[in-house]
Amino acid sequence: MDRDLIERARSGDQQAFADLVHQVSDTLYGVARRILRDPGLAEDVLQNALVTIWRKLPQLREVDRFEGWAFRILVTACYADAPRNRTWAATIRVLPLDRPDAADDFQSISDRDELERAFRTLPLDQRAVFVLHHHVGLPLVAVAEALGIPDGTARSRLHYATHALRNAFEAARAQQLQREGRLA
Amino acid sequence: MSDRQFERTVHDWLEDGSDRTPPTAIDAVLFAIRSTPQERDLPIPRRFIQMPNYLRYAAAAIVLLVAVGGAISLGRPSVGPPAASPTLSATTPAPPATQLPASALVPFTSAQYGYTISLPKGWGAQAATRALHGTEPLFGNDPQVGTPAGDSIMGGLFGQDAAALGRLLIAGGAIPAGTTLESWTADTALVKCGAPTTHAAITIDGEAATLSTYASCAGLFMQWVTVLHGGWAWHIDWINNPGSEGTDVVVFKQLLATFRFAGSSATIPRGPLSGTYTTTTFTPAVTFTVGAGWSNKLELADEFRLWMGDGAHQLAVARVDGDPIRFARPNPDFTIGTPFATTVAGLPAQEVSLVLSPTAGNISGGFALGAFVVPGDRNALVVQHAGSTSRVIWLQVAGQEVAIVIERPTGDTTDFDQQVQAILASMSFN
Repeated sequence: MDRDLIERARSGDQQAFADLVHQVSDTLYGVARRILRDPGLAEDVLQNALVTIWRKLPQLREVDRFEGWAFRILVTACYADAPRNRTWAATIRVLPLDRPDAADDFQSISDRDELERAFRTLPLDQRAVFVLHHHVGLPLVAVAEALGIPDGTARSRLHYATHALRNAFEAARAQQLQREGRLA
Repeated sequence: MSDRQFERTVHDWLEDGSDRTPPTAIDAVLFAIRSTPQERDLPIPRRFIQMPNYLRYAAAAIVLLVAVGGAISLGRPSVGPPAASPTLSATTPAPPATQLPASALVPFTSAQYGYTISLPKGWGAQAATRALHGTEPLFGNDPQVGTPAGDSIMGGLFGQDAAALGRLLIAGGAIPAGTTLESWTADTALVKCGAPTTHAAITIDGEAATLSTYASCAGLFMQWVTVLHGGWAWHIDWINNPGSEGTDVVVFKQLLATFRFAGSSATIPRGPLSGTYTTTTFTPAVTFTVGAGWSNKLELADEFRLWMGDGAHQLAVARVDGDPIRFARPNPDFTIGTPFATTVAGLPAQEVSLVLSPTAGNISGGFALGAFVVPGDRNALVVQHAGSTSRVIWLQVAGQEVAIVIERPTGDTTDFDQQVQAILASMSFN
């Protein structure tokens, strides 16, 4: 992260903030989209978070902590907007290129749908920990710091989220085995 | 099942989709911060020290004396002629907002929707060229291909003239029977901005309407009117920078009083005005000509879709990697025709027909009944409806494989095929 840019934005330089927005918006949008599972809502949340970041930037004491601080504002904005979350947003989904055959791709769709459904049942605080750890790649200690929660809380939230996803994944695989058994 | 399998599947699922921030979101933020002050920590004590009454009175008297003395001192010129009459100080209250004089308004008629409204002189308009699809967002995430769904009528917002007034967005779309004003409002304005700061029942050209006012929606002051008329639902939306709410409320009300619907919504074309368009995001860029009744549903870097009517008839173009129907081949719900050679845009192509059984199972286990996957470079998934018939055409454009998927309900009796042929004949890749 460009320290000079953050410092200039902190001192009220709107152009510097615009440059900063272009540097961080994709990352923040990606996190919001994954937590909320709705690109439209994630866009709204991102806007609110970026305006809040602008307003509160002078209160950021240590420029080196900008990223974690920004994540916390973003996640707080996710929490605030979640009650307005829509029930389902059908979006274009992605399949990996390196699948060996088509049957695997259909299995992949099924797995993902189960994961998606399971993830949507998770509380937002568990989703946030899961996304910051697995998508952003923050160590759990850094996730805890970013979210302002104890390390142990971050660890248990991650545990519950992973457990729910694993159950969903196993259920999808079991269904697939049943289908294959019927076809055989 | 191994941990590795699980981790890989979770990773693939989690990394799904594009993280590119919609440019409209960034524009809105950068506009909002222009008038959003930063919060700086000031050394303000948390509470004032209790002061005896006599000291309060003494302090007040001192402040008053200093203020009067200062005023006298400032009003007395040190040299030269006597001072002119005093000017307004910064603390003088702003005059109450008033309506614009009638002479400052000019009539505007929407080319797409046919309504009329009076607007301040000098405002520019970017005209809509198609209608909205149901609860499609009024702004943000709008499809492109150069066919906006809303008339965007601009005063000074978004980098024009900061001193001028804001922006009006006006759009409408056909709605299903049973839609109520409450459900329309809840499904659109409330989804975008949440609970309004104030909520009022008003009338627009004699129709019951709802005015939802937001002190801040994405950092902007917003007045959002929702109204139903003639089987259509409408948005009339005023956006402006915070800070001019007093004037905005008065002027918006003044403009709304001049709004008149077209005679009949039934005559409003739903699709883009017929014409020639070039994709702005999808590459390789495609130029094509459409007639009335079509609309652009989606444009991404690797896929765009055109709809005729409600979307059961569609033409999708996607970048692909290899055999575009390889995912359909093992699925017994698909009946696949024999490929044959054809041409599109003067380029050699292959075409095959696909019929997806009306009883196709729920193969994704989720929301889509039947799915046909076009593996593009972003691996876009084109969802195909059970009971539909498709033509899949694939060709090479400057080394990039491109698939065109044309879908219609099986047994369809419209002239969709002829219209598609006209679009295909008009296509050129740039």
